[in-house]
Amino acid sequence: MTAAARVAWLIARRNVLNVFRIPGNVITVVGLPVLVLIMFGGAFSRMAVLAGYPPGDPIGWVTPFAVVLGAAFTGLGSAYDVARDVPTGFMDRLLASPASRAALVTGEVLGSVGRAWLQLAAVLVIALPAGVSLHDMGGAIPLLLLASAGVAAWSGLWALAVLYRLPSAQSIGLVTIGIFAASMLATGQVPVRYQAFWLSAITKVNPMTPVLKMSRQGFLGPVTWSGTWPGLLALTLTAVVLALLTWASLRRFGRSAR
Amino acid sequence: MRVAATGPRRGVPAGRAEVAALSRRAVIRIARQPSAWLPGLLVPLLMTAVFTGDYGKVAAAIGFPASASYLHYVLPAALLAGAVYVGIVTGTEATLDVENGFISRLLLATIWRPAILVGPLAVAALQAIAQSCVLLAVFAAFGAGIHGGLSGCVVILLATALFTVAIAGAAIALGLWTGDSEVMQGLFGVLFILLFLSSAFFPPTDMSGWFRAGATHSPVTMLVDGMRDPVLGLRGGHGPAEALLVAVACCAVGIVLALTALRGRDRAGAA
Repeated sequence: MTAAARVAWLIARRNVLNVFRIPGNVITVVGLPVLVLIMFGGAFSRMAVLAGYPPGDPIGWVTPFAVVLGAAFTGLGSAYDVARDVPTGFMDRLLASPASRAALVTGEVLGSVGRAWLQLAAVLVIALPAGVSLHDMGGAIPLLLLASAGVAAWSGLWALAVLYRLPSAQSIGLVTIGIFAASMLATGQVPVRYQAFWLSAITKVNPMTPVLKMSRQGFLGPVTWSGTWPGLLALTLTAVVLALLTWASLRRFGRSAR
Repeated sequence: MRVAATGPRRGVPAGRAEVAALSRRAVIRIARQPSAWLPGLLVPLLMTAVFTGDYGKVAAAIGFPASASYLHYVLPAALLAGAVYVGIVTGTEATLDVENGFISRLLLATIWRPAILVGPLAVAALQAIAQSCVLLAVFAAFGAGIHGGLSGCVVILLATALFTVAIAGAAIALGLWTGDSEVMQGLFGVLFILLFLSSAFFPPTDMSGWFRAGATHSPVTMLVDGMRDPVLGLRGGHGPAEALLVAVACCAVGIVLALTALRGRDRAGAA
């Protein structure tokens, strides 16, 4: 393992261990998507059926959304890592060390992915016994793993971009707003045709929409390439944009720390 | 802190000076950081916009709500979501005080212990009222005014403020117990999601199974329904009184939790 990979691995491990270090974190981090599954499934499933959507079963519609929404909030762990490390001086020591800056960012992003997969496991433990139907198990689970990892990477990068620029715990509210907006202004709850015109206009350009469509394959129907590639493209392009934003924030932070 | 160092002045009841100093500190902290109050406005507005955009057609398709717009229906939920955010910010500030040792220094001083809580909780209640006034104005601008008049507004604001104190008290307690601010943001998500287990967004009659039973008997349903009566201009019912009763009960629980956590930290520090 190279030095950079080892640094990234250690930072990622610290990020994930923070979930278990504090009992309250287990409930709030792992429990959040499970609650989304239960609450959205319970509150909206009958309404959705009454209104005529989705085409499959309501749990199959909500389960991928719960996983993706949970993944979207995993970046908060990275945000808190930075918010804690800056006042204690640990961040300065990291920047002064020979560790590459890319490894610092990669480690936090991998930590977010680790958290997202913990959540995915927790959601499936609830959803599968609850009777979620899998039309294509071989395709559904890998695509869900991919979607949750990609959205967790977005979330981690977004959190770092904000926190490197405004390094305090109070800035985390801004991270939350960004995550909330990206997650809710999409087809998480309601298909485009049922949305108001202004919302459907935003939904159509929100990169979260093709990712949700990709992740729902296998739950609501067969897995197809035409339903997959837009999601993969959205994941990649958005991650590149957010990575550039994070890199710019980190450079600025590094200059101000000198 | 100057007040703590010099002790209470002659003629000033015990604790008042400390409460004033800690309240002033809480106000300044919030005013200095837009990120401490801006999301409390933006999240409920965004939530309302999204839910109205998402569920307006769905609700109309199944003939709900019968007597008003969905925007009217969801107004109390937006205020409570804002209240949850204010409560979480208050808890986060308290947790940061634990992390940077400020609470420990306060507990070493000879101050009236509840003063540590009274200031932040009072400021949280005032922040919730101010925030709710802005939200009500925005809703009114979009055609969702309060049909219950001034008295209706007072009931809604009072219930929101009491609910905020309840959430803030619970969040402070969690912060004092865990000493980690990361738990707070997760708590916001959990509390926000728990609003769904009530009539905040949809009537329990349109739910099914155990979820319907849970939402029907949830205290949040009583709170939301009671706040909704003045919004829709429904008079003569017990809704507003029940809402205030539930809010007072929640508030009492939140305060007891915060006091218990503070006493625990005080004892742990003394040991």
